[in-house]
Amino acid sequence: MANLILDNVSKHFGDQPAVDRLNLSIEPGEFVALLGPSGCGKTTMLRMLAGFENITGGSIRLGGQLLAGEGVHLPPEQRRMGMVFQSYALWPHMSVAQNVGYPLKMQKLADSERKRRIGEALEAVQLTHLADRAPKDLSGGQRQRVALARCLVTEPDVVLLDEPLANLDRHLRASMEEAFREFHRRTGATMIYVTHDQAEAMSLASRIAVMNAGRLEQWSTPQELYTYPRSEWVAGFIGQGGVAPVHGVSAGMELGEEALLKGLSSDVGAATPVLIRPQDVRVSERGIAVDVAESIYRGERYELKLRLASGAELMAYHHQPLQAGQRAAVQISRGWSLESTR
Amino acid sequence: MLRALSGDQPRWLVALILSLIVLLSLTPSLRLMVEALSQLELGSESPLARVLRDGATWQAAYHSLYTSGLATLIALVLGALFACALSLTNVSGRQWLVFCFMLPMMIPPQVTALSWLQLFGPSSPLLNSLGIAPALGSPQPLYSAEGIALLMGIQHAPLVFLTLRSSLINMPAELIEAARINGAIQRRVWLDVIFPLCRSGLAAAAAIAFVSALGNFGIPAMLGIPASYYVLPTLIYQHMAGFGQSMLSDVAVLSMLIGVLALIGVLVQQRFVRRAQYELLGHTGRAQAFVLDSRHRLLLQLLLWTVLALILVAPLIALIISSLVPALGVALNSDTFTLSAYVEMLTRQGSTARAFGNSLLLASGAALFLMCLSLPLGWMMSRMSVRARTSLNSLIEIPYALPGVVLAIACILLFAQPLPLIEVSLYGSLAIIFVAYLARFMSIALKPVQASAGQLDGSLEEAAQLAGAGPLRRLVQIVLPLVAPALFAGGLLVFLTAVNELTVSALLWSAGNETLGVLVFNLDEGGDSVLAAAISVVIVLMVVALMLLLSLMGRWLPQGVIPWRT
Repeated sequence: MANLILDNVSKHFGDQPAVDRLNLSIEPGEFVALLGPSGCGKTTMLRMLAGFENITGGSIRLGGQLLAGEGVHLPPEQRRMGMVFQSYALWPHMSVAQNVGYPLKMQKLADSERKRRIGEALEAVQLTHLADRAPKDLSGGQRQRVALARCLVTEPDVVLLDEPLANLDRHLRASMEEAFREFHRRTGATMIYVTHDQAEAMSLASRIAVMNAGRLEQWSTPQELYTYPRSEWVAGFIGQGGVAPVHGVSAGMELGEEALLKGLSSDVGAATPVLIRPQDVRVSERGIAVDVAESIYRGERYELKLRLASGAELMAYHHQPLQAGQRAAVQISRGWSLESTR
Repeated sequence: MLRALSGDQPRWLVALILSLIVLLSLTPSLRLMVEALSQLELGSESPLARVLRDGATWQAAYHSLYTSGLATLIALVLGALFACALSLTNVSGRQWLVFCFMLPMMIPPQVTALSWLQLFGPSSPLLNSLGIAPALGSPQPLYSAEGIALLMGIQHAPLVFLTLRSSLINMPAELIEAARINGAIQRRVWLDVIFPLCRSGLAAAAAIAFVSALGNFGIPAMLGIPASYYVLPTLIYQHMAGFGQSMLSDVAVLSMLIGVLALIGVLVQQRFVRRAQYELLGHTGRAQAFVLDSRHRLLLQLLLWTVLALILVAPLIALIISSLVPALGVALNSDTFTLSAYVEMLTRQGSTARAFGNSLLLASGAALFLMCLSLPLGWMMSRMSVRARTSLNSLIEIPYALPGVVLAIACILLFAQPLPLIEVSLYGSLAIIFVAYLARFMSIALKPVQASAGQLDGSLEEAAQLAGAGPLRRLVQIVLPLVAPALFAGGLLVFLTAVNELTVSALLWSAGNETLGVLVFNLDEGGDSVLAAAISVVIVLMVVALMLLLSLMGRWLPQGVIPWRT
């Protein structure tokens, strides 16, 4: 097992940077998500890891071996990685078993050994009974599992996944997420998972790299990302909540009820954006005055949109509806101050 | 079929258009079959038996198969090289490479043949100018079966290119990438993924190249007849020159023979085209499968341009040089340089000016007529059930898919007698060529309109209908403006093809009614190659200009309307 080190990796298309000096150090066996809106460079990054794109700056190393950079570009076929494509990329002229066995054929394994490993891989994804089918006769979820088995079969150190759930319906996604977790447990491989869906990234990954416009915004665990987002942009991208300007604080501070009460009503000093999660906002008799902008029924509770005197919007949950336009008061138990992106 | 149409299109229009199509597409072929199968009661003395007994028939059939087979091989090699290089790698200058590679298909065969003839042989002005011409009396190497095959191969390579390119472009890049990340080196990627996936495309391409070569008249006529090497189309042409009691029945049988061979080829092609449409998932054309480093890319570009220089540039230079010397066999230098051929072409009244006039008249007339027909037809067909549309499409395809010789003979048979009721004879006039052009090129005009009308959202028309617009008003005010670019492109394609047409007019022309194609052919046959070369230079310039015009229109057209634009 080897760690994967991205050192100042850049990719320019013309003079347009798609990925800008990205640094990541990924431990062996980690499940990493590359998360960001479309066009943020996450897929380009993945394709550079695979070797389908040249890098234009920096280097990529796997366990000390230089994969790309410093004039070296190891072609994909020599990187010994596995990859699950968004479209699964199953070869339509080969059966399920042939698809799964192809990487072994490239490694020139003996027939009997190959048969055994194909059998094992298909069993792991519960597709043994479909070994002789053509890919076109399979459902979306089954195709996905064939693609997984094709990855599994060579036991690669690094597995790349390019939005593998994007083409599946919501129902299948949950069960496929479970399949990925199982896959990770079984192989212990390092997995790099590209997605634009934060819920997917949060529930699967052990660490998340949030990317925006080619740059790394934040690199931390899902819990840290939710609780301590670095910047206003990340806070807006991950989870729900409102951002309000608070006076007299600096970025990267955890604020309690007192500090928030003081900071929100003051106008001394520069204002810093502060993230306030809905579960930290409680409607009460006394506290900070707000206008109710909207009250939406969500089944288990009501979701309130509240407007502060400064015009900033907060979100809160409540057990009963409030009238839009009504005045109310809230107590805010926690806030987290952010780096301004404006 | 009438019932298959959506309700409110005017019945009279639908009936008029459908009967016109049946008249143009079906009657000539039917008339031909009736003639070919006539007098069967005579047994061994029937035309069918007589022609099938004749050794010349079988020899020409063998020649046809041999030259077409060899031409197909050449077309496959050239077309596959360009299709793979241009769709799977990152070579630059793609647009120009495609444009230049498509040119040989658009240049009429008689001009291709003429320019290649100027490139070889003892009297080649180019070789004489370079001082490397073979000794007088040495043979012209192109007057041979292999020469015919080479030129037909080059001319039909773009067909292979187009067919193969569409199956390569539809192949998701991810399938190739998946093979590479799983450890397949380039050679294995070709063997295990690319080749199996485009095998059907390759077979379809071979079939269409073969059918086109089978029907090619210009090249075997210019290269084969001087060497008495006859293929089926030229054998028919030769039969037509001799008069005889049974001549028409004999050529009808021969035509049916080519028709059947071509039809088999077309069926094979359609079968493979369908097979080629694997159910492919995934993103297409997102990335080139093979990103070459700059050295390999330069090498590949060098190879492609060298091929183009050999198959396109060299013969065209030879053609231009031939048009600038006083006579064949003369080397071009400052003393011999003369524009007299061009002066003669412009000033000599008579056949040259007349042929230009005839061809322009026929081509623009056919283009305009077919544009007027395609608009309501394409609109109508976009509302038909898939089945009705498919069968109508095959009907329209018949005169285009069959070799031109077959259509020409069918038209002769159909119009040999004066038309019933009006007692006007089309035979021996420009009108017979015009009618044949309408039948032959209808499919060229219709396809872009169909593609464009198929993309229209039905709600556009429904909104107009709710606003109170009747069917004809909707056709003119809603559909016409939206499909106008495609309509115009179709018209231009018809013009481009018709103005250079030789096969049909070679059999249908009469004194005073010659076309440009016939003129070049006759001038070359009569030994006036210099004037023929000058006219050909003008024709090539016209072709290039029209193609550039179409390219400029490209952005307003649905994909695939202009073959060389991607």
